Amino acid sequence: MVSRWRALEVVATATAALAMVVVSAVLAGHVNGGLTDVLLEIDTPTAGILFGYLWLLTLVAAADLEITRHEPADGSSRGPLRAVGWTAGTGAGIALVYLTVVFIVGFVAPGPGSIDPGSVAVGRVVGGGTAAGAGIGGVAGAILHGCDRAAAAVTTVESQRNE
Amino acid sequence: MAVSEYLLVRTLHVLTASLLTGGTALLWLAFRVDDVAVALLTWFEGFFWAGAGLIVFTGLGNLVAFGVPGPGTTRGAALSIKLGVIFALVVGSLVRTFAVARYGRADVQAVNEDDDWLRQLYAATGWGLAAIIVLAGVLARGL
Repeated sequence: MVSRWRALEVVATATAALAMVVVSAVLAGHVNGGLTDVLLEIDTPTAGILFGYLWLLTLVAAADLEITRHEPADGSSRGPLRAVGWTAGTGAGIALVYLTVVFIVGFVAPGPGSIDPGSVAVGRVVGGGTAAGAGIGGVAGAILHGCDRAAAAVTTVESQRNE
Repeated sequence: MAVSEYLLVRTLHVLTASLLTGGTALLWLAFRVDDVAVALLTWFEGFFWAGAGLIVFTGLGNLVAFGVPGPGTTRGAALSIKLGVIFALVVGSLVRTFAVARYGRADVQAVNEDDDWLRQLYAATGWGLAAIIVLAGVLARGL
């Protein structure tokens, strides 16, 4: 049985990572000028499914991730570098699964944004996307770890316990 | 059909933003009055992140509905600043949520005025959300 604190951490970690990725992507698209083309290509229900599926994947991945450091019962707490490496691997895994499923659905029900179903083109996008996912996961992991350390610094658990 | 779709997206966006801003301001005020139950903070944090996910998604729908301004325009600059503020708000909110979860794990029942940081984090969240609402107004209608 998962405690509600753990559930809260999982929801917060997954949603924050998703929000940071989406906001960064939109900002990059806005500055480079290609945002309008991408947004107008997808209708609302499809966008909802794509966004919901990515949210679900990050929730599942976050449930398996121990970013926050608690009083470790067995001393097996992850160091910062190991945690960042772990999130980089998770980011690559999410990107690989997400892009593969999106492409399969795109081939079954092609839309205006579908790419050429040639294996080289698909492989290039999936490979590049997976590498980008690893990079994004690493950065997100570093931010999450920093937030956990900041939370530990600002809480006054002992003082609150003694009340 | 397209009109009702965008109306639904806009309504969800505005309602969620209002609820998050109001809830944050209410908790900030509650900290000034008395101890605040960790159970209440936990419920709000869960609601906050569900709302944050919804608001990011509906925000993309709003961009389609209102049109994406060019990066060199006033509205374009407002969009860039708004996205930057949202990013900072997400990071700051993570610190706040992790702090609440730490209290919960430590079996703390209520947070008192000794934790000035948590109160300030709720204040910063409220002001951040207020700034985003102002920027959203500029983005929709200009200065």
